[in-house]
Amino acid sequence: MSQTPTTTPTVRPTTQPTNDPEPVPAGVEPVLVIAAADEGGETVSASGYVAGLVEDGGACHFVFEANGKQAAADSVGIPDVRTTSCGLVQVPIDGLGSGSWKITLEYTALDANLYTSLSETVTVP
Amino acid sequence: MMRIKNLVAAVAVGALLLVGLPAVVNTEVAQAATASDFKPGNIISDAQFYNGDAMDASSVQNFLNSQVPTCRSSYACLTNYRQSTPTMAASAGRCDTYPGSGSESAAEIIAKVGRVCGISQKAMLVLLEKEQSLVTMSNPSQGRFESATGMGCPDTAPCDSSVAGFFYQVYYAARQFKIYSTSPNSFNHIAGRNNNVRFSPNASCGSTSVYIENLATAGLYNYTPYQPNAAALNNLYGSGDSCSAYGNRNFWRIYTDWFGSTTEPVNPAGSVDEFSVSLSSTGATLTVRGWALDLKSSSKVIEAHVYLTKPDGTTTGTPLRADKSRPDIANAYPGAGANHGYQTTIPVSAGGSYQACVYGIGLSGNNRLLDCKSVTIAQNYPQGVVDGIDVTGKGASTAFAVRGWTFDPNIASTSIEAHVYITYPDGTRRGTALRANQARPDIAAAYPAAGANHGFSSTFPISQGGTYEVCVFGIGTYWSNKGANAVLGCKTFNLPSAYPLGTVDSAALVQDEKSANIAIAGWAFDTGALNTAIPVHVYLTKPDGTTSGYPFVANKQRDDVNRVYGSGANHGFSEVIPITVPGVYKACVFGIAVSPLSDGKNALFLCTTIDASAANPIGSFDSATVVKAGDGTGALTVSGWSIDQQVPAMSTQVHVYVTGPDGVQRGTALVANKTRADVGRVYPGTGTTHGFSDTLTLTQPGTYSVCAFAIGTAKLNAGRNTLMSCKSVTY
Repeated sequence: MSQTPTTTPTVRPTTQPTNDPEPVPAGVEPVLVIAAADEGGETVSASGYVAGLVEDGGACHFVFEANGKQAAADSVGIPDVRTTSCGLVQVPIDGLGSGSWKITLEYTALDANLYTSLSETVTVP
Repeated sequence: MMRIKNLVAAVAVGALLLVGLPAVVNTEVAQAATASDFKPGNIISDAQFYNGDAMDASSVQNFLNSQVPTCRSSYACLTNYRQSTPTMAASAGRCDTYPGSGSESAAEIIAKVGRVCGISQKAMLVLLEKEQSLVTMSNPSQGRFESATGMGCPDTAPCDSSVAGFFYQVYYAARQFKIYSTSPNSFNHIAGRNNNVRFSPNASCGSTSVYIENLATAGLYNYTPYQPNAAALNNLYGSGDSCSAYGNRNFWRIYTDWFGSTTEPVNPAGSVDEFSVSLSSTGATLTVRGWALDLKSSSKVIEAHVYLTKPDGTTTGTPLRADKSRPDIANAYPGAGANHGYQTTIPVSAGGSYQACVYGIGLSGNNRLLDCKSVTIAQNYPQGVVDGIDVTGKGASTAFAVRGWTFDPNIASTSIEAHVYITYPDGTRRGTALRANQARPDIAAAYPAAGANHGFSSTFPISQGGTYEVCVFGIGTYWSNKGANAVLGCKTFNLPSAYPLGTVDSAALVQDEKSANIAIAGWAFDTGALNTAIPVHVYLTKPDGTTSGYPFVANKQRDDVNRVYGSGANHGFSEVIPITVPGVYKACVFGIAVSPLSDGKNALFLCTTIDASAANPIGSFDSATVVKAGDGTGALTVSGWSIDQQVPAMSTQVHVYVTGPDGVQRGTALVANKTRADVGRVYPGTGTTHGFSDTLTLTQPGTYSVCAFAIGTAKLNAGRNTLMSCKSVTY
């Protein structure tokens, strides 16, 4: 008695690679994304997000320091998919003047904890 | 919402028009991604990412089927997943209206969400794969559907249940990508600038400055804020090192593998340069103009298909050859030549919004929506006013009277129609067309160009109570105003057919020594005319059988009635009808209907008999004693009590008749008003002042007869006296 040959497998073998999981932040950390003088020479922009936390209504506080002076710009954090976004802010160059600016993002969370980003240093012409 | 409907219709009609072409829009030939092609500043072009017509539902379904030919038994895969979907309202800067459905496939959801949010279905498929491997899994868990795109599922906190589930995950992810593009400065990765993009959440892994070239790439970094490092790119289909992140690498790699280059220009190229309207006195002409070009065979002429959606929602398709001279295209696409323009004119005869959607028809089945544009032929609504929608008449002649005026501003001197729609209590709605051509000199004075013949008036009989709505429309008549009908006025009526409500609180005989009355009190109002104090009629049948009517008005204050019925306070009545003849009376009390539909339907509140018979007073002549005085006279003291029970609180008279030995009779009237607590106890409610006691002087010794009469005191008891007793005394 002959045996029926094996038919084509019904489950197609996959050649698709496994999708590696996205790394997860170890804690809450504000991160500066943009820290630069704008075209036109009148303003400096900064943007950033808060990694490791998604919430609505926290306080984003961008601090700009140069020439012994300080300026700040505030925004309200909005929840994004994986982060809390602080959006983009601008400050006039006039206030602090040209030179090396240090920019830092401070974030006060809804639970009142304060988190501070690594600073970025920008040369402002 | 209209735009979405039109677009859906356009696609449906497009399928008819494009018969013979492959049902599935061909994609570019996919090939395995090469790491060196990954550009961190341009992961995908805007044209590819924001192409909401990249795939229709059948194309998505076919693609899903190709990835998972057989879903494992007892599992739901994207190939066979279905759910009901809600309607999601349109919002500026976000998505157009998503029309919900009782049951939709995953492919239909992906296709519709992409279309209403303007996000490529290809990008959505890649997102589903890179987040949860949903496109390729033949045995996905339910949890993968719940957080299919990672929306509301931060890595560091529990998922937000309000956005869980496949539809919400797809919808809110597409919406989020749309928001990134419409509110870019609310987020942190900005197109057209240098952005510090990290390789990993771990700051020590470093970052590079990435010039992000377009909105789509900025959006991907907002969604997943890391770029792949060299290790991740060097092992494109596997793992990198401890500083590797994979989200944006995998998006790019999967898209490239499945659909080809993420940055290749969309094909066919083309645009809709003009969609305009030119008006005349009898109609309008629409012009659609643009160009279309198949980039793979740029010297050849292709077709452009125009789908025109009219204000009534119907869509018609017109195939055009894009062969008109466009020197600008020849300059922009060397080798293509100039003959790639298309143009058509379409006569139309109605006002309102028109939408033209133009598809470039590629030579290899690669059809693409070039653009949709809209124009509006302004419509002027009729002017007019409803001067009155009122209830007139009573009873069977009750009717709505409607009057007003209207004219079409584009043909002001022409009489147009006014339509009256009445919704009846049973829900039926009937319309009547009136010609607004009655003389209204006041309109001519206010609008000289219109003249006087724009008035309308008519009546509409009604015969039952209930809620009516009467609406009057001015009917747009000029060609461009057809369908633009103005609501001149609406009025709702709640017409009760109920009879008057009311109660007779009391109907009784009230009398004293001077008068006797039938007193009737209560309240009454007509539910259809709360502000009116209605008549109350009392019909009184006397002891002799004759009947007389007495009309009153129920207008006295009755706050208690208002509290219960909210009817206003002045609906009370309290009346008296004098009577003079004792006997049994019958009183019938009617509320008189006054509201339109209840007119004549008077309500009998009460018929009752009232005993107003006469009755003799009662009493007792308790004693008569005489004491002889020194001067020979006698002091006769009489005492007793008497009550007229029809006026029990009043003191009656008692007449004492003394007949002497000489036969002479002398009468003395006494008032029975002395305290007799014992009497009060026996006849409760009569008080204690019904006693009499007095002393009379007798002058002649001998035997006297002393008789005491209780005197009828109530008005109806006049003359009805009771001989209580006679006593004999001697001195």
